[in-house]
Amino acid sequence: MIRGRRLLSQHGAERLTACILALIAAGVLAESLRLELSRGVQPGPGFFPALVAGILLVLSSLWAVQGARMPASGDSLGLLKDATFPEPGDQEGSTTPEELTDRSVNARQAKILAFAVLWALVPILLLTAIGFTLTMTVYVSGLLLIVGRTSRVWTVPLTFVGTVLVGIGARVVGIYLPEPTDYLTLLGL
Amino acid sequence: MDLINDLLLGFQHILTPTIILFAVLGCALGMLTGVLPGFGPPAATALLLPLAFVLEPTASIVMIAAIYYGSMYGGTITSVLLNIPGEVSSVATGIDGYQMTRNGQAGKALSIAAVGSFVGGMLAVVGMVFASQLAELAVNLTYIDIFGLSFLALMLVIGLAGRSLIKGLISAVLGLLIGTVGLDHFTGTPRFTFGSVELTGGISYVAVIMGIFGLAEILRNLTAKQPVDFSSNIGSLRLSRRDLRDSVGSMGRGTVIGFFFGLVPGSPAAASAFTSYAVEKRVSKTPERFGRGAIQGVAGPETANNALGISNFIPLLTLGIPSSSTMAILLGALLINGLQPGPLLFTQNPEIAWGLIASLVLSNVILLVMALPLVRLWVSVLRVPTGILYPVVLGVMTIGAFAINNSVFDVGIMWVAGLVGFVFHKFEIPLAPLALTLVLGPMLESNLRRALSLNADLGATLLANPIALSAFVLIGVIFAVKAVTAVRRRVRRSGGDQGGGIPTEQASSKADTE
Repeated sequence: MIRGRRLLSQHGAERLTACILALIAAGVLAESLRLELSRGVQPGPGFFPALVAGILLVLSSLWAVQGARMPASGDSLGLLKDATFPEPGDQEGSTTPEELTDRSVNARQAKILAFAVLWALVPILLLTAIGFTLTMTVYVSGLLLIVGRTSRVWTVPLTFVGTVLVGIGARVVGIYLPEPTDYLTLLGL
Repeated sequence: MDLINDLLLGFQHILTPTIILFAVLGCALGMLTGVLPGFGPPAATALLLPLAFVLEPTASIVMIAAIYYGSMYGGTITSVLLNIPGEVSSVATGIDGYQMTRNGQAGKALSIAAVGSFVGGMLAVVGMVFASQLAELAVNLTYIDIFGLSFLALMLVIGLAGRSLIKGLISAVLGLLIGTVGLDHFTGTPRFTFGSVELTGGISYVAVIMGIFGLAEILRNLTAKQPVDFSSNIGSLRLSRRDLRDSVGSMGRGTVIGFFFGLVPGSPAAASAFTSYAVEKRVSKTPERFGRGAIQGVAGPETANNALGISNFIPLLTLGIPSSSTMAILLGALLINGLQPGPLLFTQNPEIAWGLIASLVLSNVILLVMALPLVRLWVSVLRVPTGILYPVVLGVMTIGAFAINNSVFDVGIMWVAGLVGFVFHKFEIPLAPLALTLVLGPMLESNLRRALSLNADLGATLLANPIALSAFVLIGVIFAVKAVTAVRRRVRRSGGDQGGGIPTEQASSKADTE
């Protein structure tokens, strides 16, 4: 059986995450020690973070060791696994049409997830620059078009109307969203 | 008599048109978010937590409590109609509720769930009124006592939240670390700010909570299979006298079970619902009907679920200790409004404390009135494709995160937290400990540092404070029990492996991550 692009097993991913956590804990511990651990007889600003980082370092090391001891069950992470391609005569690795469909759905879902994460940069980067209405129209209609596969004709205008209504609603409850041009005031709203 | 007067004060404070309107809106929003597949009370309350910033204290607390309440029933709707529980505690309701749907009795199942929720909620509020007296005893607690009790609550949550103690502790410790970012409250020293102005004020726990519960849930749903199609014909909502007669005992037992489970911090809601289900099956004269659409199988767990939801408020209001992730979010909402839950809340802000208790009665009534007439509306929400529903929710969440401090920095924090929550789910790391320590962290740190400043000898301090000492002894017992259980499980597993058995440990762990 030829293994496809299986990037990481569940235990491998857990060990990797545990190591990253251990590194973060070590960094926090070092920074906490730089801050004062005590001021006279009183605990200093570094006391509590050092204590917590030390515990995290121990726990993440234990997690990594525990992960290493676990038998490799082969249950890969849902998003990282890919198809297992069978060789001729390889009964164990034979793939049913349902399984293939399931895996292709997984691949699509992984793409959707990646898109949703990257697309989150739109509001983060544009909200204060071009304002709430335009940013949210781009952001939400992009999600609707790609994730929801909605109509290209209606999505953008309807999202724009919805965004304007939400902007008015937000203003009613006292939330002032950034707008370079205060067109709501210009419209008497 | 004092208790009745106090409760009347609470009603007096909340029975205004504005507060009633916010309670109705909260129940409706709660049910709306609760019916989103996979969205439980923590996600629903997290999603709408930014409202706490824009409303006056009473309105925001009443509304968020109503959202919590509404979302519990919303989860029941999906559990009964689709067998997709909005939360783990609705799993037990779905066993017979979904079978009733398949038998063409969905309306009846939803009705008995609403009536059971009402009965459980109202009886639990009565218990809560009496339990509020605990606050008077808690006034004399010292810093180390509060630290010990908070720590005990945290350990109970960790001990009961998931299968792995290490993962539960990691989740809790990460929450504590996030809480240390920003200016040190004692000395004003910046900690882990890396020169960033935004980080000086600390990481907004509202943005983190919105991310780990709300956004992570959306990301999970975007990568999950679409819900199966279902029939929108829910049948008659009317309950016969026999249905009510059959369910009365189940509701009574469910209330008692749920109420006492809710007093224990970290007690999983699913445990009370399943205990109630098991009890109902045991006392039934026709146990063979369970799993095939027995009405008692819906009434018992649903009543227990709501009674637990109410009694969960008792440790929060009397001791200031949240006993679940949703209570941690509610604690956050109180803190946003400058209110410190705990024994002093009843003396310093009695109108808020008793107003919150009275609002639970109000929400109960609103829910009973609204749930059944609007059930078809909530069912129609389930018909909206998730590809359309979730982008709209994401847009609303982005506005909410921005509104916290009028800063896109919090939007970024929410997204980072959302990804962390998603990864936590993949690794079966429970989220409840993180939510608790995130909110409790600063309080834990300040109580510990104050206690150590007064007496650097922690051992002597503990011996002088029997409540704190008892709390730490109990923590030791929890760890010992957990360790013994883990060793036993390992021994049993290795025995099973030698005998050629197939380990089946991981099957039920998914539910534990909530």
